Amino acid sequence: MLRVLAGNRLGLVGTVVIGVVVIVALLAPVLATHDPEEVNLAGKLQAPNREHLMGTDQSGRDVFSRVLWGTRVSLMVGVLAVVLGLLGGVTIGTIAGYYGGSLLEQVLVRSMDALSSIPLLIWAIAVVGIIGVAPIRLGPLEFPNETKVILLTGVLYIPAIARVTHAVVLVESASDYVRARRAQGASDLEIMGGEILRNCISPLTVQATLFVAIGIIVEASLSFIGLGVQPPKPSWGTMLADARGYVFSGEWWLPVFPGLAISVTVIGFNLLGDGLRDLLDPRKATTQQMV
Amino acid sequence: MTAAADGEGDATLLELVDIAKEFVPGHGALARLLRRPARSIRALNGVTLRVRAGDVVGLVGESGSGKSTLAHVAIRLTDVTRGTIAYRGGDVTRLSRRRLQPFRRRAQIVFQDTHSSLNPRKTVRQALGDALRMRGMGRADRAGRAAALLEQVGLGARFLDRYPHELSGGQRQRVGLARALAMEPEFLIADEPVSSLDVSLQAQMLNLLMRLREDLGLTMLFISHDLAVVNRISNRVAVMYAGRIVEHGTTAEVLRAPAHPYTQALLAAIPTGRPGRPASPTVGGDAVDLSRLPPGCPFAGRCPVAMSVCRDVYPAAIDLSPTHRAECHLLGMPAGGATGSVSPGPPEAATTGAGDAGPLHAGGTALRCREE
Amino acid sequence: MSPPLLELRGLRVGFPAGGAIAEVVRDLDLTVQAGEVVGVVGESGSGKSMTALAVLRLISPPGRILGGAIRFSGEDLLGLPEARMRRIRGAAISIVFQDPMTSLNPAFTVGRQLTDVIVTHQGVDRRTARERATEALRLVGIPSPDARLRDYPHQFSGGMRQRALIAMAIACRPRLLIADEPTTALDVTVQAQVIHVLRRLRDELGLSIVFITHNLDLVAELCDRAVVMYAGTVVEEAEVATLFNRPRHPYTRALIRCVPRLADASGPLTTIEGAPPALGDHPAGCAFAPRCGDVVAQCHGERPYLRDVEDHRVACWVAK
Repeated sequence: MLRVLAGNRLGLVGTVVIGVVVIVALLAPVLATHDPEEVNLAGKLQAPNREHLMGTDQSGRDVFSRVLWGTRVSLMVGVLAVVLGLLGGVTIGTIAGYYGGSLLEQVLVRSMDALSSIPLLIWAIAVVGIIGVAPIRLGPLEFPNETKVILLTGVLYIPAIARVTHAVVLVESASDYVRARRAQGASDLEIMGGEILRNCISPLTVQATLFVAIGIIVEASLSFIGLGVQPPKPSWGTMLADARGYVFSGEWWLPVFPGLAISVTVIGFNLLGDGLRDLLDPRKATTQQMV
Repeated sequence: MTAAADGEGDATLLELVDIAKEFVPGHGALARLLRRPARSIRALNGVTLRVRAGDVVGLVGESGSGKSTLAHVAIRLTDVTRGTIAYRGGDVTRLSRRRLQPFRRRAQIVFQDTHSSLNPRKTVRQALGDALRMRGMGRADRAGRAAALLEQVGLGARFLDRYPHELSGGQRQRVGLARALAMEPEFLIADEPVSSLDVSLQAQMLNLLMRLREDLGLTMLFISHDLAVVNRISNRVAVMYAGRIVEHGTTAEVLRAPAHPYTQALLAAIPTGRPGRPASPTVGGDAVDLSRLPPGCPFAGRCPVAMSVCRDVYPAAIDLSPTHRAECHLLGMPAGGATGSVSPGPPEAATTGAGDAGPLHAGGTALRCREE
Repeated sequence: MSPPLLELRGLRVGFPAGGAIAEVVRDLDLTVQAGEVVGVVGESGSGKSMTALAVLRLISPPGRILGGAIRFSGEDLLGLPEARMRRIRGAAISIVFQDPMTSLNPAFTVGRQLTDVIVTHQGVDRRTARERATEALRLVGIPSPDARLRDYPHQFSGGMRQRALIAMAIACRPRLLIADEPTTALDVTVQAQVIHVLRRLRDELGLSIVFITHNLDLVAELCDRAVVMYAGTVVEEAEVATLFNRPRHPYTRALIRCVPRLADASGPLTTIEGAPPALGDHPAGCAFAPRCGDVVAQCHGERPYLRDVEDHRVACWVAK
């Protein structure tokens, strides 16, 4: 697969970029030069220099370290939201597709249609705005505010993923290899999980990478308006919010670096998704045409 | 035909009695909920068939005849709307999946379309492994048995780790056969197993099937639209039209002395393979609309010798011999009854062969010409 | 004698595969005289469909014509500008494909699709076009043709759709009709009707037909001459009666023998060992050598070319 990705240049770029992002997120504690939350008013608003590679903000915190740690939050929100969407969407889509033509399918499909009519960002802002930004407490466990973002975003991914899954499962359920399994006595569950599911992986992978990108933007947007990651925790969105007053006064490193981080990561995921899409579709088209 | 002669193997393996199957197209569930009378498609319309141990029953028919539906119904891939299915005397019509398992081990199916009969994301090893697992075989034995199965169908163990797209159509068909044999069935339904193969490969596949039938003592239901193939491999033939069996009997009876006008038309339409001796189209029209079946014989609209009663009343079955039965009003009448075939009209040249059901020459004459 | 209606000389068609060029049609010679019905027989991988597409220059990239000559009434088709080629397609040379279910646009009436072809090529007004369309439908034996013009494809049955496609193909009275497996997807009773239609068109219109199929028996029924293709090239060519009574190429002989026929005795069928080579994948020397019962040493080294053997043309070192 890597060989074919190499043939698709943009996909390759996307992969490399995301690879770097992931490594940064994992190794943030090691790569960071300073404590991202350490305040140092004496050294505030420094331009990028040898000690502070990306300068410092108005509280003297090292921008570079904050960008690195912000990667963790962004990736976590992006990925976990997609995971939630996959869990819900694949389940619903598979059931709807496997029992195509039934009342159950109709109910599921219409419910997904209804859910997909909710606009993502407005929904997230509204709910967090109403509930508030306090962490969620479940017994001894405490979940920070980002968890709400993950849940709200993930739920809204479900209809799109369900739709993709439904389409694939509907077609595959009518194939002869499914009939063969049934003729062997396999249960519906065994067939759905053991035979059909693996045929959904390709289209879902494309969908998933693109949704990670969306999740990152949602997190940054909510953090920007104060409804996402709460200070002093570093997040690209909160860094942009902090940089609001300094855009035109010359401290360019405050908005530029977090902004670049968001852009590069989002574009990286988009390129990866496009590359995967090209990889998985037209190749089949050309070879079959020749037969 | 190296099959058991008629009379041997009296044990009835599969018995289908008055099977009917209706489909409601589209989102039938919603239509039923709203109490809208959805137009149902009557794919099977009262089919009765008995397959005895050792038989190879050829099931022939064109598109819309219901032969594939009958195959799926017979092994409980889909449920019947009406009728009963009995295997070795035991009723399996409505058994739950668990109680059905012993039947599943005994009755298997091979499909026509090699593109959809194997999971594109599973290797041959995995596909066979699934079947062997359902058969109850432990993991340790599965690999060896899978290789043995592949040998049996003329492929080697080197195909175990291939994906379907790395196999040719003929190879995929053999893997499908190996998968069916993995369950060690005694009854095999072959649904157009050679129709998608090249001519030179069809012969190989047919020989393989015939050899396996002998080696493993299989009873088969062989579905095909190709009468010459059916002639070769079957000892009994059933002809289907619009969801009914219109004629059945031994191969010799049905293919050399066909009684039903549809069977005669089928035989007359086959290209002769002899230059300059064209087959004439003896029936016009096309397959009948299964959602709008007339009360009488579904072939009446195209039949060159249809009478008015044919459209209104479905003909009773007439026994032409202890083994040969057909459902046609003409056979019940004095003129044609004795010989068991429709009395041939004057051998006119075909008129238009077009969409209109113009009567053309009856098939009996054409058949006699062919035997020279 | 006038020049042949269609002449292919040394035609080569291929597509890039894994760095090299895979040839699916290799050095093909084929001739069709006016008023003749030529049957082209081959299995998958023989290149027969590609040949048909090549004549009308309908090969989609990355496949392309690699070399050779195609002449229609003496005119070189390969050198023509595309605009000129478009005027030939559907008007002078027409083609009918295998699957009638997908060959018609479901969004337009059959009449509209027919009249479009007529208006485009013959430049007449819609009313005249409709008259000619009705006539075309009548020629292919569709009843009540004027009413049927207003129907959509889904209201036609499979056999009628195929006939409608043939009507479209002959609406502008082409000199040559290429039919690529026109009956393969049809029931045998419907197939007989379509063959009957083709025969009638040959008689009434003087139409020349190239009939491509894998079914030898159909060729025997309908065609004057038969051309047998294997692995991208012609292996035998003769008048139909001669070919069937005395096939000379080992492949032709084996092919005729391995088809089951009603009159046969029971028992196992004769087979041809092995499988046809995959599209574009040929050994050196004769492509049939690996499967041939009469193979000699020369067959593996040298590729045979078509030569006259009595009343046949055969590409085989051992054919006598």
